Amino acid sequence: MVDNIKLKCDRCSANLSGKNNNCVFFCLSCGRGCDVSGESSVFYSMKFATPGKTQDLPMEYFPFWHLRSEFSVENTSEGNILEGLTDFYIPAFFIKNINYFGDLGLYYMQKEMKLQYGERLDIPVFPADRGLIDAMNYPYIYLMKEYSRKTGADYVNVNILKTGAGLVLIPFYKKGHSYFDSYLLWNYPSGALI
Amino acid sequence: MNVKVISCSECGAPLRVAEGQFLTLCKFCNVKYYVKQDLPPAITIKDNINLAEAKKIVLDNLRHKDVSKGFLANSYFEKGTLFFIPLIEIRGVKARESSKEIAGKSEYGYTAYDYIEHGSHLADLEIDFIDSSIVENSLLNAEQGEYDVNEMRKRGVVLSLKPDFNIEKKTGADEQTVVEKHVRIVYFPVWEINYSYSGIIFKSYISSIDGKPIKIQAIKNHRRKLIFSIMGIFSLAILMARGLKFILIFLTGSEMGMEASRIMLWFFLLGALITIILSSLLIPYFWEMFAFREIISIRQDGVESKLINYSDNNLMKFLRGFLDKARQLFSAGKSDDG
Repeated sequence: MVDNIKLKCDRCSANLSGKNNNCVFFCLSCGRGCDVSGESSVFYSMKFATPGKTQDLPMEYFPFWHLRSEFSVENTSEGNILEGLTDFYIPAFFIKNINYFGDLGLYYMQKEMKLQYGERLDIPVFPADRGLIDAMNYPYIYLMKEYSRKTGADYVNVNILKTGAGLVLIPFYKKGHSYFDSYLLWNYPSGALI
Repeated sequence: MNVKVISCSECGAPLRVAEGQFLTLCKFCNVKYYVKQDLPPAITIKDNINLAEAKKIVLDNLRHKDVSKGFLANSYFEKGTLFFIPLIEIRGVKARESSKEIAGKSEYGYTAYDYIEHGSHLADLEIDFIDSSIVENSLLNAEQGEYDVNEMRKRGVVLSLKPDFNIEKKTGADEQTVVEKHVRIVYFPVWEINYSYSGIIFKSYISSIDGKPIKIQAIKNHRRKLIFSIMGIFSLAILMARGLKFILIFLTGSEMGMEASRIMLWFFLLGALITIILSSLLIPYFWEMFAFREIISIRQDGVESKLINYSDNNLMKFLRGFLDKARQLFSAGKSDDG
């Protein structure tokens, strides 16, 4: 964590938006996100996804870390090695009781999600309280879960060789006290995401 | 609540930052700051229940079967206060117990954890804890509000964090196995509704997120106790009459004895009847006497009751007056004899 920092966009000098417990603050006009969870504050570029499925409901942008990682997964008992390059979309917000409500980032990886990007919509942005440091753990976790699910292997060795990071804002729909993403229409109660 | 003061790096203006407050804005040069604090960041949960709704929820809950029937009609609303109660939330991801190494080196067993504990001693309230199931259910449909201590203070009472609060515990795992850990203070809004009944103040608590009752306080319904008391008096009278009848038979052992015992039986039945009539006349007094002695607290996990200090009610006044008069008469008679 850093000490007092000015929350100003490094490009346009506008004040960044965010809430008290956030780790990432946004400049929506420039499409920049500032991560303050590390030793120093770091700016990342940000893309705006278009809604995957159209619904006549109010929308809100949910922030995700977009990590493009080269990896290798080794099944330690059989010696098989799988190498690849994949996109990870790690929620930059915390999902409560994830074992019950489900991990949207994992589902995006399983579905090999291809997001469409476009102009920023004039909708609010959900607070982001997961910084890149914590998000970097998830490619390991997702690959291990996914590989062991597919192969049934008990022990796997995962190596992340190289990662590029950015932020993606994905539109979610709001219905009553719940949110669902516009791609998989996966539903969460509002309290599970704060 | 501790307040830290920092200086704006643009204009040098002092900026006050309350504990748990990580964001502040310089009103002079409109610069926003992220301020690192010793305590974790705080959030406020939006409250959706207003005072009128909270009062209605309390009224509905006072129709509980364990609440005295006359309580609702004869109690008066005194005041309602919104409390913001700090809870400590610790959450993240940990390796499962069987894992040997973390960060993906040898095993895929990861699980999320989420613990909530009280961040305040609740000394200002008449509750010692809030049931975790109420907190979790309320938080499930909650939405995050803006954390603004001044605004919270305008609207209600912000309870302070307990001094022995320790963020390092309660991850439910060895620190070696914790992959991700977030700690924050969650201000949970709770309505305290005060109402009085015969001079006693009662306090009930309602979650201001979804209106779930946390604790409802009232006078216990003693109807069942009274019914059992009357039945007990009646049974005792019959038993006494039958006992005396057998004693009389035992002592006399004759037809005359049987006749005498029959007279005695009627005599004691008459006595029992008089006892019952007197008991019935005294029901309101008994009712009041019982009622003033036991307060119940209805919680999600059951009903608990506690005895309170004896209140001087009509029956006691009457008995005390009667005894005083008897004592005076007795002492007057003694002095006359002297």
